Amino acid sequence: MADSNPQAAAGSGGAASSEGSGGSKTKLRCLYPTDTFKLDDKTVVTGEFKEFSATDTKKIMDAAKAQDVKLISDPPPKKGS
Amino acid sequence: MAGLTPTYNRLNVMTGMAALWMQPYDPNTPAVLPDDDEVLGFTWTTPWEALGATLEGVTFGFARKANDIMIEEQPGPVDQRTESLSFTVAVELSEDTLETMRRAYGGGEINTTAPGAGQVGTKELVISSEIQHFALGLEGQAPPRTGLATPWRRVLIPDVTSVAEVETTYRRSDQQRTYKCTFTSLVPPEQVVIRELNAPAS
Repeated sequence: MADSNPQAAAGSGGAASSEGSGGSKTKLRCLYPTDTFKLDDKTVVTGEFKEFSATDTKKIMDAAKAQDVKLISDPPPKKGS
Repeated sequence: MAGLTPTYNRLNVMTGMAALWMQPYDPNTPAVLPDDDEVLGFTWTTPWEALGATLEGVTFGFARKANDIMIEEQPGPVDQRTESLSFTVAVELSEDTLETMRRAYGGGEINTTAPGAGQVGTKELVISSEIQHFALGLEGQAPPRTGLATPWRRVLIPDVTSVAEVETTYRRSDQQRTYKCTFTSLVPPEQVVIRELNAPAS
């Protein structure tokens, strides 16, 4: 049985999917629906998908990785990145 | 004269550890096992999360309690019917993180604040009054088969809860801090997937 979940790893161990994508937006959410990840007062990832700019996505991903926070991104990060 | 030696296959005698994986339970997106092509020891992709180090490995438990159906005319039962049946996975988690505490205590939310100018980064765990549901995956090695030296065996329990009395001892040097957990299956046995790789692709 294949893993049909289209979402993929982000945050801890993942990479910014929008990196170098020319300003495209990425949707992010916390792995657990009740969790939050606050980069600053304006930039908060919750359990619901929310769209972030490429710059914010990169910042969020880097900070999440540093603090071992798992996030889900849509679209998922490119394989091997 | 040599005694009887029963027929056996020594390759089926197995030892070895199991890895546990967990993800939040979502009734709209049921958990699935990794692709069958993925090799033993492959890192299961998000939303699966590894449970990490344990004190004494993983214990996979199965218990069936049956009622004997008796008749006057026969001294033994004429049938046995299942009264209750449960799968459990017991483990003493050995990585002292807030994520481990959430799993052991049965659920909660983790709110993380990233560091910034003059602001340290923090993580805060709030234990939930209600029991949270998870999906649990287990992977171990299956008996070797022709062309397969280290095939996998994978188990998926789509809905579990963690209920246990957890005592974590903070000692100087005697032992690391651990979190004893018992995950109990909440699905009918037919929904528990127990699958192993036993032949390579042709």
